[in-house]
Amino acid sequence: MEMKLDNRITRICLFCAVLVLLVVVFLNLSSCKLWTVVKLDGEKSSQQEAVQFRGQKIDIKNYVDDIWDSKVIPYMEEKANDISSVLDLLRREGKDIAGEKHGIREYEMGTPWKFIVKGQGKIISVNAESRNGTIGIDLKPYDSQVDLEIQIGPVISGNLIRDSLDFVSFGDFTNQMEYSKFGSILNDKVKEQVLSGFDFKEMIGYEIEFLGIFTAETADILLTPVKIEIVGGKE
Amino acid sequence: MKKTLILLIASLLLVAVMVGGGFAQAKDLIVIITPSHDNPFFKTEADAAKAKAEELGYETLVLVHDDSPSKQDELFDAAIARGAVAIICDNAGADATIAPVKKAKDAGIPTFLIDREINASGIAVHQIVSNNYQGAQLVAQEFVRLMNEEGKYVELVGKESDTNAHIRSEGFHDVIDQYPDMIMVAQQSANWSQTEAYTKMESIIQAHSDIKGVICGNDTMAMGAMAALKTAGMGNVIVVGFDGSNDVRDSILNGDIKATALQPAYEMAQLAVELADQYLKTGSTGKPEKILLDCVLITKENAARLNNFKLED
Repeated sequence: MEMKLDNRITRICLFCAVLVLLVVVFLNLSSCKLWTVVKLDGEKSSQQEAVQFRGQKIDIKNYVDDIWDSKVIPYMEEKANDISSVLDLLRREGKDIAGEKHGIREYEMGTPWKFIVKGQGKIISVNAESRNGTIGIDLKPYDSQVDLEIQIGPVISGNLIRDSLDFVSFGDFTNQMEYSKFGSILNDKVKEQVLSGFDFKEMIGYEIEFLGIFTAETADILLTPVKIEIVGGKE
Repeated sequence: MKKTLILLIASLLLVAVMVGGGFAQAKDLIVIITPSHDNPFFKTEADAAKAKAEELGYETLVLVHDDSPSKQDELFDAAIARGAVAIICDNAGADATIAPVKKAKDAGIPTFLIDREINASGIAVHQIVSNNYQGAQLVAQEFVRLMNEEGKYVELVGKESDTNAHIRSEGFHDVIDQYPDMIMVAQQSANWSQTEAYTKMESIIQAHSDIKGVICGNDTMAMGAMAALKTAGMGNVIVVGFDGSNDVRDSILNGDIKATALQPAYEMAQLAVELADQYLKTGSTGKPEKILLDCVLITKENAARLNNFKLED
């Protein structure tokens, strides 16, 4: 009985020793320290989107593909307020009061209020000369005045989609550059999913329904869209 | 039963004595450590942290490490010896700072880092940094707009060893490189220095007298570049910087430099102290360790409201 137990202990010890040896050999072979997992330099071309996310190396583009329809759009739909009431409150009470009521921001200081909004309006102007193109939207009641602009690319400025999500934050990433990559890929998704189907130059006079985000830091309202649908043609 | 009662009374007495002693004692000490105040950015950090800490009822001790890791180490030792309740620090090196912060933590003193990150998490309670990448994108967007999305330009990069020099440069190019008619004719490091930017710009002008813009990794280099351009009679070249210093504010108001990104030094330092206060009182802040604050674009529109790295409402 005692003999048997000794035997078992020896076998367990032996097994552990072999395991440790294997791990050590493996680590040496792969010549990486325990805590370096990502080596972005040198493999840039093939794995540009590989980032460290919540302790794991992932392809951030795949992640964005995964969450866009299942999480990002439902989140925006759920958080969206009516554009006219938000603009009205902003004009009457200023961004802080409007922000408290309809806005989101990560911390009290140092981050601007962001407003997720939806609404309907008419396209009354198109700026496609700039690569940071925009369309001018007139909201009901129509008065032929541009009430807000919507970014139409090909350059999408800012990171409003990234910054308004409450289920992904800076702390999930290793550094500012990788966090920024996440923002850029979300913006790419806008071009691919939201904007690519439209030829906005031909769409003056069309009525659209939109969902998107803006920040009240500048006087002109510039919306980053996550959804655009045509609801009415030219009258 | 009697025993319990005595015990209860004894402990109540003890608490009373402790509380009473607490009141009689000096206020709790917060130690604030930054690089040299010669750079107004760091002076603002220290002033803002001190003001907020005193407002919240703390005593403060303001120290500078002059970007020397060994000096920083000594200052942390001093803070521990003085029995500080918290340390606010703009650190002297992403790796060199890990050890002192850990030492303070082991001594029961929480550290709140501002402005720059360290290469370790779980040691400081918070790392509050300004979003250099986002700030660089803001400046680059304005730069591209001012250039009408086309033309030759120069980039002056910061000190090669500084992470922020790279982050800002990448942020610039993240935006600018989406405009195929923007052509970079020279990219050189001027090591954050005004005089170096001046001489570098002088020689760049010799080879490229047709440049339309200069984008700089910080404000001091923007000041140097602007001066060189004006001397060469090229004062209409579009120059942009990064930091939001009073010098560049005045230059913007003068119509020389066109834009910069304000790093919220003031807000960062005040937030650090508020979080420290909350942490000391409740044991938690309920916020993630790393906090990223946005930079703000400064142009002629809002430059007049800028003072000592703070945008007045």
